[in-house]
Amino acid sequence: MRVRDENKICKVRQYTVSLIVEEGLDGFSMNKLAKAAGISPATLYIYYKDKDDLITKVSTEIAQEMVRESLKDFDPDMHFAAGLQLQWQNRSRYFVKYPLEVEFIEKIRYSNVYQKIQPIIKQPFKEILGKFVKNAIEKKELIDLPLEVYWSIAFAPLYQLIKFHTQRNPIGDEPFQLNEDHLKQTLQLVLKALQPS
Amino acid sequence: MQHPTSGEENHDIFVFKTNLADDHAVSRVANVLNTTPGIRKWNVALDDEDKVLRVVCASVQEHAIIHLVQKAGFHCEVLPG
Repeated sequence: MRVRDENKICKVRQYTVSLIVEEGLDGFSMNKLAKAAGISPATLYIYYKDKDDLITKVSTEIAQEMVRESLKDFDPDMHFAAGLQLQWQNRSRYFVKYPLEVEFIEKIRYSNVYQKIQPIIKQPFKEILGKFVKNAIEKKELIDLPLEVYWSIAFAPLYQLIKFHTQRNPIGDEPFQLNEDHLKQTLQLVLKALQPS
Repeated sequence: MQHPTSGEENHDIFVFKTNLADDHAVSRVANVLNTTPGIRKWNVALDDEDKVLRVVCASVQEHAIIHLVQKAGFHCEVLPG
């Protein structure tokens, strides 16, 4: 019976992510991965059926972690301001800590692999955050808006700040380091826009 | 982390380098592989330069699979580990 080598599997994931981020999906192959990770192609094929299977499994795992981190300690019954703050904290922490994983998901977003992982991402968000938004509107802590409008105001400012941070390509002259104060300042403005006056 | 090959833990997995170049070639070995008792699952990675044939099986020897593929008219050797 085969013994599963955690170390090898960890390496496979790490190099799959970094190679796809660097070279895109088209430039990725099992042989390139094997070479980069110092593992024989035969071993890769024992663990994974083929390239699609490997990318799907790595993506699934990353998507699950992303969702878990985003919803950490979150409860749909929270007060709107507290709940949104927690989501901002969770998301910014994940995005700043795992920029490669985030970029990896972006790279596969327009491939057929994404179809397979989309429910993993969409379902829990839809369920838990849908309930959160519904509760907040009922409690009059949030104004009633179409979902897309709500999302754009609630999260686009956060993602833009993260982008400025990770791309190191700010609109100002100095490199931009996202900190707690920036997040707090922006979130206050977002809350002001979303809460009934 | 989930097991990358979950459901395959109690089976043997063999990987071979072949010259199965396209779907037509694959369908020719399909006839033999699908009817061999003990072979649970198999697939060919046509996008790989080594046209890797991967076989999940129970109580089938590696050399028996090589023999089957060769008999169907194709090259088949163990992909070195």
